[in-house]
Amino acid sequence: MLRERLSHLLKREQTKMNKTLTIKNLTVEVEGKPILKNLSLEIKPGEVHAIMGPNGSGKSTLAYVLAGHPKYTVTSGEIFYGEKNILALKPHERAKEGLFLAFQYPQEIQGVGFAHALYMMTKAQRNLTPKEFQAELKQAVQTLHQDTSFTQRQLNVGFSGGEKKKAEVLQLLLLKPSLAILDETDSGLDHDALELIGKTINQLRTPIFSSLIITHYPKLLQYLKPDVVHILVNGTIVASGKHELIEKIESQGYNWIKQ
Amino acid sequence: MNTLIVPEGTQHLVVQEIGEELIVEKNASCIWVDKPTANKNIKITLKENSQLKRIIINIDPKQYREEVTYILEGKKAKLQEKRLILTNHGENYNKIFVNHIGEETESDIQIRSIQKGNSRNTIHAFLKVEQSGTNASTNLNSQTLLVEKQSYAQVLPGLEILTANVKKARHAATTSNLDEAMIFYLTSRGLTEQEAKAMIVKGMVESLFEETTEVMPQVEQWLSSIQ
Amino acid sequence: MTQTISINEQYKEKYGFSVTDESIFKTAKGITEETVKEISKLKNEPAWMLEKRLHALKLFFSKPMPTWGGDLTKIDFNNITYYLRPTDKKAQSWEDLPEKVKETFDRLGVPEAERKFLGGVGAQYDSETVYHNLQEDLEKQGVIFTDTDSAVQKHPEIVKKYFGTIVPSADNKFAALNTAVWSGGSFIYVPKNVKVKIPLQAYFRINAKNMGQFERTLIIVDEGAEVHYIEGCTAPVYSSASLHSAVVEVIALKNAKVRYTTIQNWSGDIYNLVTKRAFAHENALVEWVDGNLGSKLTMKYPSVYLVGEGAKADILSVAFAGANQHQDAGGKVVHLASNTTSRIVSKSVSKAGGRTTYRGLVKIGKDAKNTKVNVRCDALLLDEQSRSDTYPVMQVEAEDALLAHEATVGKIGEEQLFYLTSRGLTEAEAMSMVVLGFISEFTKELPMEYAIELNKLMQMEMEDAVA
Repeated sequence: MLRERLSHLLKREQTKMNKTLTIKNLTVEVEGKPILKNLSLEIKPGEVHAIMGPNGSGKSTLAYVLAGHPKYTVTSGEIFYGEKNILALKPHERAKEGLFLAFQYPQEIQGVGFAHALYMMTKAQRNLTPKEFQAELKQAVQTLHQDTSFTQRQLNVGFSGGEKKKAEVLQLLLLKPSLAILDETDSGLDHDALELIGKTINQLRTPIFSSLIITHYPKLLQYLKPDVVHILVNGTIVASGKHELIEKIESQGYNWIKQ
Repeated sequence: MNTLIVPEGTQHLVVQEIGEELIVEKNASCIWVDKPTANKNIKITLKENSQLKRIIINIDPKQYREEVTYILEGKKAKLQEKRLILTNHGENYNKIFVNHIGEETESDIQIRSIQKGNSRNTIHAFLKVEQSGTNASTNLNSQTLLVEKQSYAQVLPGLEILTANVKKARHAATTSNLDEAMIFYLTSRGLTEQEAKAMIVKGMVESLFEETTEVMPQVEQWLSSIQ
Repeated sequence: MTQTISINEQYKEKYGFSVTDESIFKTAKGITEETVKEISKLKNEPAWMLEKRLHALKLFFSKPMPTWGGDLTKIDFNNITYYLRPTDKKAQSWEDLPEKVKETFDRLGVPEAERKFLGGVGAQYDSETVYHNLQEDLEKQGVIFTDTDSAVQKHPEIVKKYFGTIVPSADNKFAALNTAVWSGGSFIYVPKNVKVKIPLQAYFRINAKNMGQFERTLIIVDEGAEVHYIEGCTAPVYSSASLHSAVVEVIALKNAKVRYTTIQNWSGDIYNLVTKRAFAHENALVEWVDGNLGSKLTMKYPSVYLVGEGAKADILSVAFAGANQHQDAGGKVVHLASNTTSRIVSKSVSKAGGRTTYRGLVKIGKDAKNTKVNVRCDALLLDEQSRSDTYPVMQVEAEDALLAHEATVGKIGEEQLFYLTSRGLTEAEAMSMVVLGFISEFTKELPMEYAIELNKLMQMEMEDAVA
């Protein structure tokens, strides 16, 4: 019984292991206006990439396009995750491939219990009994220093900014994606919450977990040290590097880029 | 038919008397500050990308009856109406019909009705979005304040929405009275009860209009007769 | 209505409802004074009831059809059979049932026995044991729970006292029709201070008569008493009768509490025109929980007249309109006494060309001091062809009344759908989640089994919508 479970887990992990996110020459429009221009990016399994840039540079657009938001039109380029052509998949299919987007502005859904929604979402990813779910939920809630009443509210309804971000991370913990895209998860969080979330996500790092962190301020990156840092300006990546880029932004902002 | 046409492209034309019909042509914008006279039946058509802002301030009309139809015909036409009604007595009838025909049209109707004496006011405001009115946005907010015992208010806000692709369709109607708690708070600060009531009502009026200065003296006078 | 096969002898004895002579009888189509007399004679009714029927018949003929509401033009009063003896109704065969009905049973997982009953094919739905234990308990407390026909025979004093006092036959054309040809319906009397713990369900004592076309229900809850009555079910119920016109009268005396839950899912081309009204006396609470899922046209506006000080009303309504359906529903509250409060919450969903209409009335009389009313009606349109209307009327004569009313109409937000599908839910699952959330205020007031069934039904509808 145990051996079967282990080999099943290994098999699943193995298929996930080979998944590199490859974005090639991506151009994206919204209502006829181009936002991303010829963007290319590669995230190998196990890597954490950060994307920074001034407001309006297209960071959130990249996140939305990866998740498949209907409002954004890809006019050229391709996105592959492993061998799958992501652009040909609907949002729920992309989720099943292991993609997860932590929204900057999570939607409030009236009348839907948070715990119930979590259960439905988790079941969409993997088979587990209600008991197993309850156990995982309890664990995840504790990790985020919340108590169970947190999940008894309606999905995001009346949640403060910080609570909404924590709710996104809670989903991340339960859905166990292989590619987590965090869209400005740090905005609106106080110091303690930032540290908690940074450390929590950091603990998810394995050779098969990749992450794309979109952020405007370098704070979160103290806890979640990226392997590669990109700077996005006006829809294109103008610089890529390592830690030294973050330091430059911390001390000089984005002005040095605007040539 | 007494028709007033605001020519294409005209910006910020201010009108006061319009007769029975008003047409705001393409790309024109118009502000209509109403000098109300009794018994009106008006039709207004807004063409593509036109805007109409209507301000109607009715202070102590003896017997008032108005029926206005707004047809938002052209794409992106915008309507805003701000209506203040202060009545002492008599039967006052307000009928508003807003019809969204064009795409992306917007309407916002704000009504504040404050009743004294034995006034009997009816507000019949009907918002309709036709199938062609995709992405239309319509909002009605009607607040009635009954200040004295013999007043009667009748509000019939209706909504008919024939397309799912409506951006926003909402109405809210409330009737209330001068809040005891608010009055107490103000009187405990040294105002007489009359002054307190007047202050609350003025607040309601001011929150409606930015452009109240001209009208305030008349409003103040009306308020001074509140018991 | 449902045409059951012959009621067997055992059933008659066990249930002990008054069943008159077994002579085969069916009124001719159309309605005349003769028809009404025959119905009354068959039921062996006392003269006072026959008189009420005849008086109502005259009113029915003289009253005009309502010009508002749904489209009633296709009702042909002359082509309806107004009374069918249960033993005489031909058995419907399972094969004759519409495909859609059978399919829905499948998808909802309705048990075999129930299917036949709901389809009007099988023998009585077997709830004997439950019913008998219940009856014993109720008798001990002095609670009367029977069908209205029996009540006329066994408790004429009570019936005479209250019948027609809340909905007089002159009220509207369909109330007049019902008063003339009514048959079946529930009669409940709860004595002072008795709190009935378990909900009384129509189907406990259901027999062919009850789910009739012209049910007359009368519920009297005496001072300090409490009861919850439930009727209908979420699974589609097939009826061959095209006009259903019921009248429900509820009297909640001082300090009483009544909740009346209805879920209607008539399958077929049915006009469902119902008058439901309650009087709430001093400090009483009346709750209408009203679900409208089926029928071709439903016109129903549960109302509460708050006639005693401190009385409260709560009206929760859900309407779902699919293709070729028009749900014209809402609620009415009339405040005639001081310190009364009321709330109306209406949620409607339309898809595939269905039309939902909210019609409401809030009336606050001059002498009703310190009234508080809250009305919220929201409509969800799922696709291009659907339609939603809202026609509220507010009449306020008391200057210290606080009334807040809000209505919104819209569709499921694209952003909401994207958020949920990005989490792995299919589009149908996401829409389902949002719609269930939308009607959750209503669903959480339903007993568990109903809530579960309603949720399943909604999910099915969403799957169909997306397909």
